[in-house]
Amino acid sequence: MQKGQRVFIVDYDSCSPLGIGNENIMKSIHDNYSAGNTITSFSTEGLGATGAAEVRGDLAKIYANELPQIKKMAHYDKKLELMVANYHLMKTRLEKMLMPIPEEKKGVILGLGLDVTPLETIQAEFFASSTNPAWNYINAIEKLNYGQGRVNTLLNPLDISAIYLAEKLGLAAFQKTILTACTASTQAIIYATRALQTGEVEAVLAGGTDSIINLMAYLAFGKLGVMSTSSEHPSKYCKPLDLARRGTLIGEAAGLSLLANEEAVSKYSLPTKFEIIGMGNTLDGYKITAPDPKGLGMKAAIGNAVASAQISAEQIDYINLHGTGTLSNDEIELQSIVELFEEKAANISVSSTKSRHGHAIAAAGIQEFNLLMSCMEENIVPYNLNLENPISVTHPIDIVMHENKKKNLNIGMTNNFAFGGVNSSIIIKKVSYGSSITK
Amino acid sequence: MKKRLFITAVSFRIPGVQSFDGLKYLNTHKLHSQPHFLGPDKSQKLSVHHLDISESARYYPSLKDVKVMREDVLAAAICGQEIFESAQIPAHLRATIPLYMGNGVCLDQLLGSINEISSAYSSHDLGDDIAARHRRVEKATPALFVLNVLTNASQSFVSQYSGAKGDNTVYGNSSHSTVDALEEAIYTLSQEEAEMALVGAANGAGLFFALTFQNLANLSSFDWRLSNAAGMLLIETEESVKKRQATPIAEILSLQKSTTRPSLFSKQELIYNSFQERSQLAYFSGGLGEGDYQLEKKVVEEKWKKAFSYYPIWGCMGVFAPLMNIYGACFHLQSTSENIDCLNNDPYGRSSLIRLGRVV
Repeated sequence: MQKGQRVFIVDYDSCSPLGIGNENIMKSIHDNYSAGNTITSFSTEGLGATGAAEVRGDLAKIYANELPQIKKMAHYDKKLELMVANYHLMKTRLEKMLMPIPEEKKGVILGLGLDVTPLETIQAEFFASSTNPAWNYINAIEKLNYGQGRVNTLLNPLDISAIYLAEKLGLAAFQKTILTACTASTQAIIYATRALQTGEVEAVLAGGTDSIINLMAYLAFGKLGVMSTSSEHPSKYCKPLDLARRGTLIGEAAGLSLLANEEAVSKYSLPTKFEIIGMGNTLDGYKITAPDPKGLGMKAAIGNAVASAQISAEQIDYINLHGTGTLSNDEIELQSIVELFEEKAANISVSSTKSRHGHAIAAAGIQEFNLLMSCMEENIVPYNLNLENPISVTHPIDIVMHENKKKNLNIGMTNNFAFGGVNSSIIIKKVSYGSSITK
Repeated sequence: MKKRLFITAVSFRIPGVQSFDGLKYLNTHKLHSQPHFLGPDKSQKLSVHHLDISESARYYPSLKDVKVMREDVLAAAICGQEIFESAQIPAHLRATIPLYMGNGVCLDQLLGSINEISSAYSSHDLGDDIAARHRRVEKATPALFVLNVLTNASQSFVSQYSGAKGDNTVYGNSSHSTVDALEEAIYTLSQEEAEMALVGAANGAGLFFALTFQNLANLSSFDWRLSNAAGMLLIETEESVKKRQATPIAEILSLQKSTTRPSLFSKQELIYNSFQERSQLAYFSGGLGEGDYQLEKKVVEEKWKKAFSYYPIWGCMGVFAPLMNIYGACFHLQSTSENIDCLNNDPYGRSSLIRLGRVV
């Protein structure tokens, strides 16, 4: 990119429905496992849909040494719990890499979703035995929060995860939380990169966390019509790019990437894995419920990313699509890419991995960004699970089907688009471990 | 600052005030508020000041869109249109203009629905019939719930109605959000990625805001007052100002932020010591509660010759507070040649100083 210092990813890891940690996630990719399954975290009796992609496994065990207050908050706030687990997953590595960097030279940026507290947990634990029919949500929150010091048990400010990480790791330069829904953590990477390019900071921990797997959020998304209510097994709910797609698979995740600029990489001998070479970030200004049918905003974001990367589109080896499996997104996204790249799109491999891990909303960006890097490390393009009859577009493009594809992945792109018409794209390039950072 | 940057237009909606000139004739008697009572014995009074936006207001969005707009979002959508019209920005220039916003708590307008949902969930007449309970909850959930609480709704509607479609983000860093939004605009313009940028804030005040921040606020024994508000700033480079022959309202001379490690559990001492070089005049936000305001007032008055705050009028304005200081400073700069420092501090001890100067 033309602006300022070069920016590298020096470490990354995720808590995903596909597994906890990169290694487990990639095992699920190789096994072509879909995390779509019947929800276990609350009863779905009587509901039209019963499935989601949940992060399974004993998260509490990962953060067993945490402060009791954090554990209590994490019990009610799945987003915080996922981020606390993600931090502990990377704790030793992060401390080692961040320790030598002065506090005012390192910051944190996360993407987060809205805090919709779990009605079912509050009710079950505090009011099940109550004979008072007049209990309400507000009284319950007040009761749980009263006398808790400076933190709440429920309904903390949205930047609590960023403050938590900053306090743990001494990330004093800034602590930012981005709220642009499904693009929130993609933008976290973008704004981390911008901050590093200036040289004002040397390292930024970027990522995000989100979960909408609780009764109120699940029903609310169901009512919006974007969630698949198929009678098939939840692993078949989400069919990105398929003519028979009927909606997305609700998910949850957390992920972190540690970014550093070239000065820091050199000064602290940080291992370089990937370089961020292009970014695009636009608004549709169309309407809140649907993307611009002409894909003008998407094309502008993707086009800006390619232009800032100073590459030709045909150099892109793989695009991890936003590919939600909804009627409105997939066709516009794919058509935007081929219209923009024309014949140069023919050899670009594309797939959406949401049929495997679900849609993690504000954490979709970081989950897919980290997965893109893992796939690039192993030179594997995950195929579009559940895709039988692809939508047709006006120019050829390599929609990967039926089996994962071995391919040398040097340059990769990830797209995310949000309700309200936010479009964000990032292009990364592989660099060798510990290699010289000269171009 | 790498480049000279100017504020060339402002637009805002504050309880009781609809325009820049309205700051001159503040009539606090016009403020109406909705009271709530907090705490285990309901002894803490909370007053929430609301916006009064008439359906006949100029730039009022379509009724279909208004259905999913929160009060602060509606005001932001109006301000987005108004600011471009007042600055006479033609439609073809708007599409590339970046939009950076600070956004507050989003649940307050859904309070009634959330109460209905929770009541449905706890219906005692259904006994152990979970399926029936879930169906009742489903029925109580509004169809457009997700859009009503969308965290980037203000940005989306400002973009839709104003036509700004460039680089963008929405920050949710407590009251620091709008400082970070302004910082992004300064970066973008300094890097010559654009010649103009919109910076905005939409603060949703109410019971959910109070529940979110009550453990962080120093409420003392006073009543707690919160205000809904939304507003925009148009920031331009010197080149753009000259090219458009625009009349700047103020020059942004600097933006500084503290770099202290924040803490979840312990309150940082507010000292504003990061900012050694000070102007004579300061506008400050006042924090969350009356106790925070009194403390900040004391500190600011010790370090600055003259200190002003709108806190006594509107109480806590959340993410809007940094913009309110800027509007106050812009207004003040019409009658002074002194630079003005706009100060903000948030519950986690993060403080900032935005210095504005009269345009010469």
